[in-house]
Parts: sequence; structure tokens; C-alpha cells
Amino acid sequence: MLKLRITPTDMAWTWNGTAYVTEAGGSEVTPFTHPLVEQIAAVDGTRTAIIVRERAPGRAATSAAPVTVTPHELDEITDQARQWPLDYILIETAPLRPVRITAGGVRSTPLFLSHQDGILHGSWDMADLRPYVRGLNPKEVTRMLVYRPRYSTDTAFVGIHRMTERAVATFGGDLVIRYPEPVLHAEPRTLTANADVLSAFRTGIDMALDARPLEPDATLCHLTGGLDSGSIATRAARRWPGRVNTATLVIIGAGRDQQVRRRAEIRDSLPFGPDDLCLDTRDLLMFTPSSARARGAPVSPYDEPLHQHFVELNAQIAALGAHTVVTGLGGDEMVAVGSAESAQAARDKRQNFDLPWLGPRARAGIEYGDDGIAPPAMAGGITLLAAECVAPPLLQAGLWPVHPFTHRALVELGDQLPFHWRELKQLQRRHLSTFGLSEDACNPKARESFAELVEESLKLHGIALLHRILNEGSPLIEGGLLDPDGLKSMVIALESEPYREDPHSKLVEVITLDAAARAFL
Amino acid sequence: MSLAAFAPPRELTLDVDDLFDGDLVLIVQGPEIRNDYKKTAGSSDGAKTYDTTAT
Repeated sequence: MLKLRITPTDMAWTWNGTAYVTEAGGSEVTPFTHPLVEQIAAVDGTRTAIIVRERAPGRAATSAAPVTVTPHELDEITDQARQWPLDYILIETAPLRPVRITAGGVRSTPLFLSHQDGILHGSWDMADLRPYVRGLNPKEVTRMLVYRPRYSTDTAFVGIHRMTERAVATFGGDLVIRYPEPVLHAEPRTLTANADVLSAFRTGIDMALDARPLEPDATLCHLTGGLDSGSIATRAARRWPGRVNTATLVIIGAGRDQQVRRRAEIRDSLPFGPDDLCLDTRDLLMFTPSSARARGAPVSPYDEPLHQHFVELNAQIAALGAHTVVTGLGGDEMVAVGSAESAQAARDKRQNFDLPWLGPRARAGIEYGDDGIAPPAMAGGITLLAAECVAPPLLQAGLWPVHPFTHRALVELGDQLPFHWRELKQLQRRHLSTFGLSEDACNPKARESFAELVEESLKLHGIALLHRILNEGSPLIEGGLLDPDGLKSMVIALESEPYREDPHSKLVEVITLDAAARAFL
Repeated sequence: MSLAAFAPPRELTLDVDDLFDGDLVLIVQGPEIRNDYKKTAGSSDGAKTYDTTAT
């Protein structure tokens, strides 16, 4: 939600209309300009507190210029800032003291930090921090290569740090990021005889949608055909009839006709807005030579695998006049089923680390994957990482992301629901059925996924990028994270043998990491 | 500007007391739970969440 450059010795702040700046010009904090974001600041004659935060509903617009307060009032202000229930960044400065930055527990957008020559740099766009990259972080790259992501301050690059939820970064000479206490979660419980779960779910969605001053006419909902975005979008349509438009990527493969049919039924059954943006992935495979990653543009390795698709879709959404996008992100995690609860879940979660392309350093690093990770947050770690994944391309298009499933009300409800409400997302399925939708819409038979797009893309365009790694080398190979012989055997298999979703689809991460390493290092 | 502008709004919480029986048991989620990554391929919502419409 902001970009920053801070020299801790340079601390008399003013607001210049678009940014907080210091007189000497050594420091600058630039909030993201958006109707859902505001900034506010206070100074007690010595210390300054700058707060950039998501707007809460029903409150007057704030003035950005720093207000003068007493030291006691400034203490109160910083205490209150830490209780803001939406996304925020609090920056506290004082002359001759380190700067302290606190992130909120809701991370709608990422903040990456770097430092060099006594100056702290931060941005929601990892590409801004490219000058400060000093190499690959083998532990984090290994997590990504084996598809066992962990939410932590690590990024794939030494020199770039992730500001995790509720973390406190202190910078002055060195940068130290401290994790918070764990958020406690409830275990599943049994329901009372008259429990109205669906009513509670609706109320929770409404709370999440009402947490920000959304403007329905400028808000668009993802409606992918998935049960999560479907649950949120249908409720939004019912609450704001005729005003909320929708968008999706249209998949290829076995689920395509079903996705198109089900989306049409959902849109026809509820009062959505008139516009429905459908970007057909049939016409846009991944990793084409013209894609940003293939061209060598600095695309973060955390950005979407479908980066170019979402860049295009987001541009269309912005052109429609929307400035806010509501997603179904986090719905999986809200009703996650544990391995101990279900043999199927245990099979789904079974992890295959026997990937032929892993280099010796990656193989050695697997066992350390949980070292130094963040404590439990309100939203799941994967949800938080996924939110970081979708945010930069949205922000680049001027769009703000809203993920209702990350709201406390829905997380806490999901934690406590018994297995039979979470199994195969019964909650979302039964919620959709309350709108009178068909069995086909609520309980689709075919899988709707991007698996086929990944397959086609790897075969048509991915192989060339994998050959580039083998022919030209890669920082991943130099770092011992990729084994060229193992990768070569897998490329030969991909070219000559029937495609296998596991492990072949995991080559996507090899390509995106290699592209990022080439661009950032 | 009033200092009220700095005060946080009241956070709404979902009252589920009438929904459940038994005691509320709170835990610290382990790494594999708090980073639950349950799907293996595909995604309908993008964002590496790999959401499949399981059948």
C-alpha cells in the first residue's frame, strides 16, 4: 500500500500532496493512491508517526498533513494504530533513532524491504528492490521448488525481506524483523441441534464485505465458476442488485464447457451488473515468447504463474471503470480438512519431494523448510502468500484487492465447523444452493482448473525455456538448486512421453524462478 | 483535525456461541496446518492456491 525510502537520520516530515517527505529529501513515504486507502500522521515535536491504512466505512476523510500532538497523545495514537482492523502500515521515526515499521494483521498488499548504505527501501512491487538483491536464498527457493511454501520474512532473494503480518521491522544500521505472538485458532466443534450454519456464513460474508467502504458500482467480483468466488459474488449480487460486474479467466480442457455453463447459470440467476469480462486462456497460453517473464522483465517469482493473463484481465477491469476487485481467495483454507480427518485429504496433501531436477543444495535444504517461519496468523499462510501473489498486478492497474475469506468472522467460523460442513466445501455448495441454483452449478462433476492450460503451455512454450536453462545455464544451477542432468531427463520425458500432472506441472516453478533470477540478479 | 481520526473502528465479530456445543478449545497451529497446501495441480482462482473443484 506504499513505497518508501527512509534515511533514519533525516526526520522532519511534511506532506507534499502525494507523499510524506523530509526537508533534506533523503526520505519519502508514498502511499498508494486509491479511494480505499488513506494516510494520516502526527508529530510530537520529536517523534513522528505516519500511518497508511485501508479506509473504514462511515468515517470522514482524513487529512494527510501531520498534526502536532503531545508525547502522551502520540503514544496513544501509535497504540490505536496497531488496533486498526484493516490493512495498515505504521511508520515511527525519531531523530538519531532507528525507524520502526509495523504491519497490520490484514495484509491486503505486500511490503518488501531492503536496505543499502544506511537507507531503507520498501515497496509493494518487488521489482523496485532489484538493485539490492545479493543472491538467491536457498531455503526459500527450495520451498518454492518443492511446492511447500511457508509464510515468512524470507523471499527468494537475499537482500529482499517480506514484511509479514503484524511484524515489526526496526532499521538503523541493520534491519531486524520481529514476528508477533501466534494467533490462536479454535478446534472443530459439534453443532447445536438448531444451528443455522448458512445464516452464520451469510452474516460473515456481509461483515467481510462491509468492513471497507466498497462502492458497488466501482467494485467487480471474480466469478470463476469456483465455489469460493461464487459464494462471495452471489452474495454481493444479492446485496447490490445490478451493480456488481464480474470477471474470470476461461479455462481450457475437460471442465471448460461446464465452467461456461455454470457461470452463465449463476449470472442469469442473480442480479449481477451488466458486464462480464471473460478472458479466454485458449488464446493466451503461458510462457509465450512475448510474455513478460520470457522477455526478461523483472516479474516477481511470487507473482501469478498466470501473470500475463491477470495483467490483461486487470487492464480490462480497470477500463470498465472498476477500482476494487473482490475475490474468493482464502475459501479453500477457511474450510480446510486435516489429514487426520480424512484419508482423501491425507492423500491430497501427500508431498512428493522426489523431483529429478532438484540440485544438491535444494535436496539438503528440504528438511530446513520450517525454520524461521512466521507464527500462525488469522488468515492461513498460504492465503497470505496468495494475496501477495494477486496484489501487484492489480495495483499496477490501479485496482485494490478485497478478499472476504480472510476476514476474522469467516476464518473463525471455518475453524470451528465440524468435518461434514468442510468436507469438499459443503459450506460453499449448500450456500450456493440457497440461491436456487441447479445441482450442476452447486456440485459440478468435472474438475475446473488450469491444469490443462499448464500442460499445453509447458509443451508449447515451456520446453523452450527449459532448454534455455540447459543451454545457457541458470543462477539456479550455479546455486546448486537445480540439477541440470535431472532437469534434462525430465525435459526429454516431457517431449517424448505422456504428460503426467505430477511431477511435470511442477516445472512451472522452475521456469518462473529461473526467469526471476535472470531478471533480478 | 480531531484525534478521533486516529482511533480504530469497532471490529465486528461473528457471534457463534449459539452455533456450537462444547468448550472452545484454542490451539497454536503447526507449520503444516498454518501453511496448509492441499492441492496438487490446477487452479480456478489462480494465485497458486490450486483450487480444484473436487468431486
